Amino acid sequence: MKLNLKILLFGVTLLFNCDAFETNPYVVNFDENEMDLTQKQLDKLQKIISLNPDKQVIKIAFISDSQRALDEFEDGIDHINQNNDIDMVFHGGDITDYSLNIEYKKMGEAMRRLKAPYFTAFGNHDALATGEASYKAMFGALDYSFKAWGHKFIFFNANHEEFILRGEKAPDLDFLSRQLAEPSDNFENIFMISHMGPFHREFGDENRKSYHQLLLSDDRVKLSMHGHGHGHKFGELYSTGFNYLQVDDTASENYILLTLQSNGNYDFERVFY
Amino acid sequence: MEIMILREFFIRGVMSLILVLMVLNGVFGQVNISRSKLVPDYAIMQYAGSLGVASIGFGYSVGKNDHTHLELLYGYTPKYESDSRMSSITIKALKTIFSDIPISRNNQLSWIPLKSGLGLSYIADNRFFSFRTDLPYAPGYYWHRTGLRSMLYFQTELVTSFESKVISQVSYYLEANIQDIYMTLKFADSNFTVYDMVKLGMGVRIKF
Repeated sequence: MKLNLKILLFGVTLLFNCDAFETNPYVVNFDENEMDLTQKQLDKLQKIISLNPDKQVIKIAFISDSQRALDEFEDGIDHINQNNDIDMVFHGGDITDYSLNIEYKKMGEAMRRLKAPYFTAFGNHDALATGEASYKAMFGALDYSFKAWGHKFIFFNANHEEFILRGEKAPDLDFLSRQLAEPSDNFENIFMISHMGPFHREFGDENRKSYHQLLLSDDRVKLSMHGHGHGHKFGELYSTGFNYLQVDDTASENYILLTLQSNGNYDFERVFY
Repeated sequence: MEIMILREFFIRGVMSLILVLMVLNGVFGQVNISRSKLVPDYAIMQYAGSLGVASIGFGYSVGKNDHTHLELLYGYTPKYESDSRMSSITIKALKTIFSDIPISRNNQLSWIPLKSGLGLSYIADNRFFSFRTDLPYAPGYYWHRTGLRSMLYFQTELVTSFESKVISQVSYYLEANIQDIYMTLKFADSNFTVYDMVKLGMGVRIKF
C-alpha cells in the first residue's frame, strides 16, 4: 500500500511538472532570461569597468568541461562567488555533454548565479546535434572578442572535427587574423580562449602550426587558454617560448585563478574546492 | 504561434491520414479482401513524448488477443530559436501487460492499466549523425549516434468503444518514456533527478 502511494505521488508530481511533457530532447527553445547571455554579460562588464576604469590588476577564474558535473559546477560557482576579487569568470567549453536542451538549461541556470561577468568558449560536446543553435540562442556568437582594462580577450570556436561534418572551417583563422590586425587603441595585451587547444589532434594538424605562427606574429598575445584535455597542463608547444594553458575539468573540482597585470605579465594558481 | 502550428499540423496530419486510409481501403476493397493485414488497425496522434511537439502515425495489433502493438510515428518539432525544424521517425513495439478492466457495464469504457515496450527513434536532420561512416572522430569518441535514440515506454490507456462501423474504438493514453541518453546522465550526476529522466507524452488511438 505504501509503495502504491509512492507511485501515485510520483505520477502526480510528474503530471504537474510541465517540463516532463518533453517535445524533443534537442529542441532549441529557451525563455527570454536564458538567452543572449554573452551580450548581457558584456553590458554588465562595461558598467563595472566604468566604475573603476584604471584597475591595474585583474583576476579571472577559469573553469572548464563541466559536462556531467553539475554538482561540482554548482560548488565551483559557490566558491568563485565567495571571492570578491574575481573580476570575470571564463568557461572553457563543454558546458554540456550531449547538447541537450535540459543540459543547456540547467548549466545556464547555474551560470546565471555567478556574481562576476562570465564568458564561455564553445566546446565540441556543445556542438553536437542542435547544440550550435542552442549555444547561439543561449550565449551568442561562437567567435567573439571584447576589451577590458587594457586587455583584449578573443574567444573562438576551435571544434575542427565537428565543423568538418558541417563542411565548415574551425578555427576560423581569418577571424583570428582580423582580430589580431586591430591596432592597439585601448588595449596592450591579447589573450586567446578556446575549448580545443593546439595540444590536441582534434584542433586539426594544419591548424596547430598556423595558429601557433599567428600567435608568434603578434607579441601582444600573452597566453592561449583552453579546456578539453580533462587535466591541467601548462607549457610550450614548439620550444618558441610561447606558453599554452589547459585547465582541468570541473569534475576534478578545481579551477585556475589567473592574475593579469596591466603590463601583460600574468600569474596563475590552481584553486581546489 | 505554437497553437497555430499545432492546429495546422493536426489538420494536415488527420486529413492525409484519412486520405491514405481511404486509398488503402479502396485498393483492398476492390480486390475483395475484407481487411488486409497491410491496412493499419489504428491511427495515432500524440502530443510531446520526446518525438516532437506533435506526432502522427499508425499501428497494428498482432499476436495473442492482439496484445502486441507495432507503431510507426512521424514527429514534428518547430524551429523556435533555431534555423530549422526537426522531424523524427519512430518505431514503437508495445505489449499489453495488464489487459482491459471494464469500467462501464456495457463494455463501452474500459481501462488498460499498463502497456510497456521499446522504441527506436531516428531524427532526420543533417545536423545529426546516424548512419554516416565518414565521421572524423577517433573511434568510440562519441559512444552514441546523435540521430538515433532508444527508449523504454510505459503507457496507461482509457478505451472507449462504439457501435459505429467507421470508428470502433477511440482510446486515450498517457505515456512515460526513458531515453538512453537520459539514463546515462542520471547515472552520472545526482543533480539530474528521476523527474528529469522520465518524460511524458499523451495521445489518441483511433481504431477503424
